[in-house]
Amino acid sequence: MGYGIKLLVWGDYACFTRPEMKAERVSYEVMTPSAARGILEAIHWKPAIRWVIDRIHVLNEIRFDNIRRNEVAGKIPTRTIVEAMRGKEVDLHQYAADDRQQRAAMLLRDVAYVIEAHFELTDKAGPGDTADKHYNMAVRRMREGQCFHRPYFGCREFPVAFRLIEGQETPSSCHKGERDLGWMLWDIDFDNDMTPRFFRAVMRDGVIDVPDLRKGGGRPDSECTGRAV
Amino acid sequence: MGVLILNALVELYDRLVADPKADVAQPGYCAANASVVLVITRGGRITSAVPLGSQQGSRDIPLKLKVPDRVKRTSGDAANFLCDNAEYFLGVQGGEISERSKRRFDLARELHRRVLGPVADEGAQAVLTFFDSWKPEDYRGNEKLEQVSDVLSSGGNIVFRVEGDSMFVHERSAIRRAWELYKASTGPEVKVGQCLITGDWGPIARLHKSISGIAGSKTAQPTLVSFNFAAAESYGKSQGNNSPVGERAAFAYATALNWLTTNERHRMVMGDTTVVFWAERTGPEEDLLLDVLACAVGSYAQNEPEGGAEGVDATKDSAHNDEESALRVRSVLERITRGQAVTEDMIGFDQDLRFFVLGLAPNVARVTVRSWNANTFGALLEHVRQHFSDVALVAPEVERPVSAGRLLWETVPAASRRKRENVPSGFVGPLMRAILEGSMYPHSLYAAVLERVRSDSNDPEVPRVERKVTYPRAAYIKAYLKRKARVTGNKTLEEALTAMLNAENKNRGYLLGRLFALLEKAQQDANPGINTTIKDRYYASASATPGTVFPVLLRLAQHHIAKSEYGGYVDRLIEDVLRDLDCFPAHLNLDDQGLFALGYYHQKDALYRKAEHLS
Repeated sequence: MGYGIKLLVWGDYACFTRPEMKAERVSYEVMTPSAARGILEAIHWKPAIRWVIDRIHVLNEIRFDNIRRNEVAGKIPTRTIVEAMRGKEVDLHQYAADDRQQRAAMLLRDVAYVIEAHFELTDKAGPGDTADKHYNMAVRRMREGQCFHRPYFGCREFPVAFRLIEGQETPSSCHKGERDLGWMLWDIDFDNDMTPRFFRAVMRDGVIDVPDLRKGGGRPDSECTGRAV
Repeated sequence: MGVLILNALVELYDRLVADPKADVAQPGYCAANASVVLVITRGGRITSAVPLGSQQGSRDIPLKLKVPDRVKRTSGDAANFLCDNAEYFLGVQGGEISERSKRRFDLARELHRRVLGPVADEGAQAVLTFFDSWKPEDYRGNEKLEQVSDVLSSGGNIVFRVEGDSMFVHERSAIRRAWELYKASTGPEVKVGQCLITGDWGPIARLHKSISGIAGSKTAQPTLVSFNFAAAESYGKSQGNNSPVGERAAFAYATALNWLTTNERHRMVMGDTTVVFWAERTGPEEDLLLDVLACAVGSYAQNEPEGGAEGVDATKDSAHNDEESALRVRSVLERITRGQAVTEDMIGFDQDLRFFVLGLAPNVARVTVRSWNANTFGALLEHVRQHFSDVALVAPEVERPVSAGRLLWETVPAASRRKRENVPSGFVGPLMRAILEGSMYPHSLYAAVLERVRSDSNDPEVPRVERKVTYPRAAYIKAYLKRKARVTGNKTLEEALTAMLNAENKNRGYLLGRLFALLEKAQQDANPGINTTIKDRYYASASATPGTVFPVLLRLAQHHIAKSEYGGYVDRLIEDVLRDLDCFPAHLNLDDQGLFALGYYHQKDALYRKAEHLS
């Protein structure tokens, strides 16, 4: 854990969609670990490393808002893309105006979090991939505001502003006491038929400790250790 | 907060299922309407067909029964177990036998053979023999069925009873066991996963039950959890596998929600949103909050401009446990709706009891969550009290404070107030949140109300009495400004915003509004019974650009005052107001325009009251 980082992220809107309310989006109350991972991966990621979220600090009050927007209903089928790759003449466009779906969303306003995370080297790491090198790359990119693609809060429309926290004090949260947030999406288990995994999120004075379910982490008394990943 | 919607609903289900009075279905069963009971012999022969339910006027009200869970039929053929219509059970549709009805009858027979085949129960055997011996052709000329042919033709459901038995066939314990066994063993390729409500590993629900009682829904079977278009699916998963909810949890939340949406006391319609309320447990706290929120949200009857009879008076039909607690609930309710503090009366109430408010709206074949609030009894009561205190406004003949539903109608032009779809949907969620959480009222609604005030005068469609600064509009303007002043720490303004005319309020907008009302009065006094006043021509410009309008109006007023009998009195009032005004500003911003409307409303009200005293 010597290579842990603390990243301050904030933005005007966020929507960490609950899987059960995905068609008509309803956000979780706070950022999910997989969303935090997505933000870090947007800044620095290589096959050689895997980001692990340790803690999420919730700085701002939890405020919801509603919006309704037009989105597309369909997806471009994989089949069509495969055909196109085989050189067949197919239409790969999506015609947004003909394929509408109006969707409502209950999302978060004015969010700010501190992500505490570290990374591990994966089996894809070559001899040149040292933890030291990747740490320095990540930190440099975070300092300079560089990213592979714009990190976002749950939906692409809600961009993330970020700043590395080094040496300074972690901004304090407005939340006090303990608050049970229920079962929250931890991440998708991509090795295992893309199974969603959930953990019991408890916020203590604004800080959520995130277990590493890949290592069978989590509260010893909870069922989420029941199955090895 | 901190409690999730589905979790709270599952908890409610557990509570309801334990309560014999609540009458909700067990897993594997659901509530359904049944119109006819076929009484059959042990040999499977029909002895009689008896209509179920009651008649209300010319309408047949079917009997609500708890029957084995029904399939979700969107298209194609699928039979239900022991409760279905004539097409499936008799092979006849609308008195006609078709290829389709024969096919459906065969399907039903097949289903019953599969479920009941191995059951050694005489009810099961009777039904099986019935299905084996019945031919759709037998329907014609069967005089027993003829008596109920109307109900059967219109698609009413049939249930069975064995001759001499006191219960329906589907209620027999051996058959219930057989059904539960069948349910557990089949299930289309059940996937196992982690339930996101309970965290337990188990079978995942593929389809979720639909929710009834959602106002304005275009489909009969909207669902809360659904993935009915490709873009809603991720990671190559389909339907329920997109969101692993355990079978039992999925059943429980939907059953509980259906119980709420069909229970008049727990449900209310506000604009296009259906709001349901419930507490962690029943008791005086739940009674009180249901009543308080009914006042805050407003029953539908009040919102309906034509005055529909659908709504309920919450205080009348509440099921208070005993007289003493009913009395206590009532006294607190009265104080709350007057916006008064209730600390002393609250002794005996559990302050920490959790209470839930869920706002749902239809969208395509889905149910959308518009707002969600989980809070303690004490906090919620305080927020609603604050709300009532903020909207409190003197009014000619109103006993109850303005409800949120009534207010939403005020943003709709009078000509379009026929349909509730015309209420802008975007306001409901934020307004509910403001009421329940004590946060700022939505600015968008404030702007919409002001816009309506400005534009209504030029609208010849609007009935004269209800135009412009109506009571609900003025109440919301006042509430919005007062809460904004509180949140931004503007103590002076917060205190100056009162329910009645406040002569000490020296705000420019407010004074100009009062002045405008006085000028209008001067005009009316000079020309009694006048049809069009300065309000109709000048209100919009006077409230937005007073600098260009008021000098003209004041000159005009001198003329009116000279002409009128009581001119001197109004002239003195005008002078009083003018003394506090240093100039006529060129523009008023939106906040000041709200104050202008409020000043106008207050001054009009004061003049009206004075006149009443004199006469």
